[in-house]
Amino acid sequence: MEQMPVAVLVIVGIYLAGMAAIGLNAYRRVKTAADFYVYGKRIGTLFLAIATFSSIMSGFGFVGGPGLVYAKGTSSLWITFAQSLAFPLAYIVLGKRMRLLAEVRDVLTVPDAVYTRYRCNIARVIMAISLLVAILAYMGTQILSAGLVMVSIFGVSLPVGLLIANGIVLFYCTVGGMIAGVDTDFAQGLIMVVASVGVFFAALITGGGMNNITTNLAKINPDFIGPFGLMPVLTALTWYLVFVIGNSGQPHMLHKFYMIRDPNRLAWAGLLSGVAYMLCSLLWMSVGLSMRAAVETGMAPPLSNPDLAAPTFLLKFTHPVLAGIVYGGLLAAIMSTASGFVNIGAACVARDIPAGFGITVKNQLAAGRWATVVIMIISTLVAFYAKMFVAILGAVGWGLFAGAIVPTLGLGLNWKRATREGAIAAMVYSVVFSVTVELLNRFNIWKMPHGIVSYSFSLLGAVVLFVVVSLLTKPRELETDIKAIMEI
Amino acid sequence: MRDFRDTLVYILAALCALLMIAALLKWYIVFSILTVCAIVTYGLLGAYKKGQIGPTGLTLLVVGAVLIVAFIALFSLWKPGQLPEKLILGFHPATAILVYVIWLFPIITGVVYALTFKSFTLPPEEFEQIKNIAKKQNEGR
Repeated sequence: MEQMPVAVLVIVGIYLAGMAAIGLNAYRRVKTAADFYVYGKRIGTLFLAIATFSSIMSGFGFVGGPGLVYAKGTSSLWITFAQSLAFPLAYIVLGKRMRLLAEVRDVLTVPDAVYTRYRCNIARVIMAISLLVAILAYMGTQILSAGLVMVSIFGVSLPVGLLIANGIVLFYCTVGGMIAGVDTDFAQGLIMVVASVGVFFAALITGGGMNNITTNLAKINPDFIGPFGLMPVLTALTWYLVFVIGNSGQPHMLHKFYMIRDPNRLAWAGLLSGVAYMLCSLLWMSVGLSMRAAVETGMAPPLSNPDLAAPTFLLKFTHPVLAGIVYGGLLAAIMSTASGFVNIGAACVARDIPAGFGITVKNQLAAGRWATVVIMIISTLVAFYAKMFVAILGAVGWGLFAGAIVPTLGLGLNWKRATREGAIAAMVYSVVFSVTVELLNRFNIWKMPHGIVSYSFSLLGAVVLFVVVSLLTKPRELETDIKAIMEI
Repeated sequence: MRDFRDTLVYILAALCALLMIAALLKWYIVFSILTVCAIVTYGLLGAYKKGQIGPTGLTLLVVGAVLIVAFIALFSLWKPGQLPEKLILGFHPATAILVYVIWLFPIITGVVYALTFKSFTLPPEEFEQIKNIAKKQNEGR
C-alpha cells in the first residue's frame, strides 16, 4: 500500500476531529424529539440546500463514479448529470407540500407524511419497514466504505478503521441527532464542493486539457468518449430516467423539507442543491477520464481495480493538500449519507413502527438515541455477516425508495383521487419487484434484457399500479388542511 | 369535476407503461422522448395550481422541448465505433450535447422556481391561509 503524505493524514485528522466537535456542540442544542429528528424545524436556505445535496452525494460519487468512468467511459455520467434537473424537480413536486404538512401537523418523518395523507396505519408501517430494510443495507455499504477509506489513509486494520469512522458517526448522530447530522452535512458538503472543483482543474492540467484527453481516449475505442460510453445505451437512458424522477423519492432528502423554518426559504434551495451537485459531478467526470488517458499514454500503470482511479489520481497527480481535502471530501460524502440514513432509521424504529401499531413512545428523544445506537450496531453486523443482503439491497436501494415514495407521495400529495390501496400496492410492488429481480440476477437465473436497469421498471410499474389501483378503489374524503395544502 | 391534475396523472401512467414497452423493444429515441415527457408531466403535477401551470410549469415545457431536440440531435450525431471528425469544446459532438445541453441547461428550471416562488408557488397570503387552518385545528384539539 502506498504511503500517505503527512498533509493528507493531518487534514483528514482535522476533519474527523471537526466532525466530533460539531456533534458535541449539537448535543447542547438538542432538547426535544423535534430537535433530534428535524432540527427543531429551524434551518435556513443554505443549510437546507447543502445538507440535501450532501446526503444525496454518497461515497459512490467520489470513488465508484470515477471508477466507472475509468472502466466504461461516459456511461455513468447519465447518473450524475441527471441531478441538474432532479433537484429542482423534487422541490417543485414535493418541497412546498411536504413543508406545509409540517406546518399543520406533527409530521417528522416520511411515514408520518404517508399516514397524514392516507390516514392509514398499514401504509405507514409498510413504508417504515421498507425504509428500514433498505436503510440497513445502504448503511452497510456506507459503513464498509468508511472503514476501507480509513484503512487506505491510516494503514490501520479494517476493524480499527470501522471503529474510528463509524464511531464518530455514531457519536454525533446519537448525541446530536439531526442537528449534528445537518451541521456536519453542511460542513461536509462545502468540503466536497471545494475538493471537486480543485480536482477538476488538476485533472484537466494532468490530461493536457479536455481536447487532449478526448483525443487520447478516442484512440482506444471511439465509443469510450461517445455519449453512452461502453455500457448498453438503455443502461444510460434508464439511469437518467430513474435518477431524475427518483430523486424526489429519496427519504434522506424529503425528510429535510420538514426542517426549514420558513417555506419561503425553499425558493433558492433547489437551485443551490443542484448547482452544488453539478460541481461535484466535475470530479466524477474528469478524474475517471484523465486517469484513463494517463494510463493509455503511459503516464501511469494500469489499475488493478477501477475503483482505484480516484485514489491513485490523487496520490500521483495532485498536491498533498488537495489530496487531503479530497480524502476529507470522500469521508464527508460517506458520513453525510450514513448520518442521514441512521436518523431516518432511528425514527422508523422509535416513532413510525410503534405509532403504526398504536403504541405511543413517551420519551421519543431517548428512544431516538437508543434506536440510533441499535441501527448502527445492526448495520455493522449486517455489513460483516450479510454481504449478500447488502449487495442486493445496496444495489436496488435507490430504485426501491423511488418506487415506494414517488407514487405514494410525489403523486399522492398532488392527486386527490389517490387511495391508500394504491399506495400500499405501489410500495409492496416496488419492494417485491426490486428484490426478486436482483436475486434472479445474482444467481444468474434471469436478468433484465438490453441492459435495462431493473429499478427503472420498479419505478415505472409502481406508478402504473398506483394509478390503476387508485382508480379501482374508493377515495376517502380529504381532511380540510390536507385538501388546502394540495390545492395551493 | 375532473381536475387538470387527473389528466396529468393519467398521462403519466400511460407514459410509464409506454416507457417499459419502448425499453423492451429497444426503441432508443422513442424511449428518450417518452422519458422527457414523463419528467415534464411529473413536474407539471407539482407546478400546477388553481388552473395555471405558472412560470415554473412553462419553463418545464421549454426545458422539455429543448431536451427532446437535444436527444434527437444526440442520436443523429452518434455513430458507434467511428472516430469523431471534430470535437466541440473538448467533447465528441454527441457527448457535447449531453454535457452542454442535457446536463447544464435544465438548471434554468431551478432559477425560475426560485425567482417566482413568492409570486406564484407560495405567495405570503396563501401561506397565511395554511397557518390559519393549522391554528384553528390546534384550537379545536
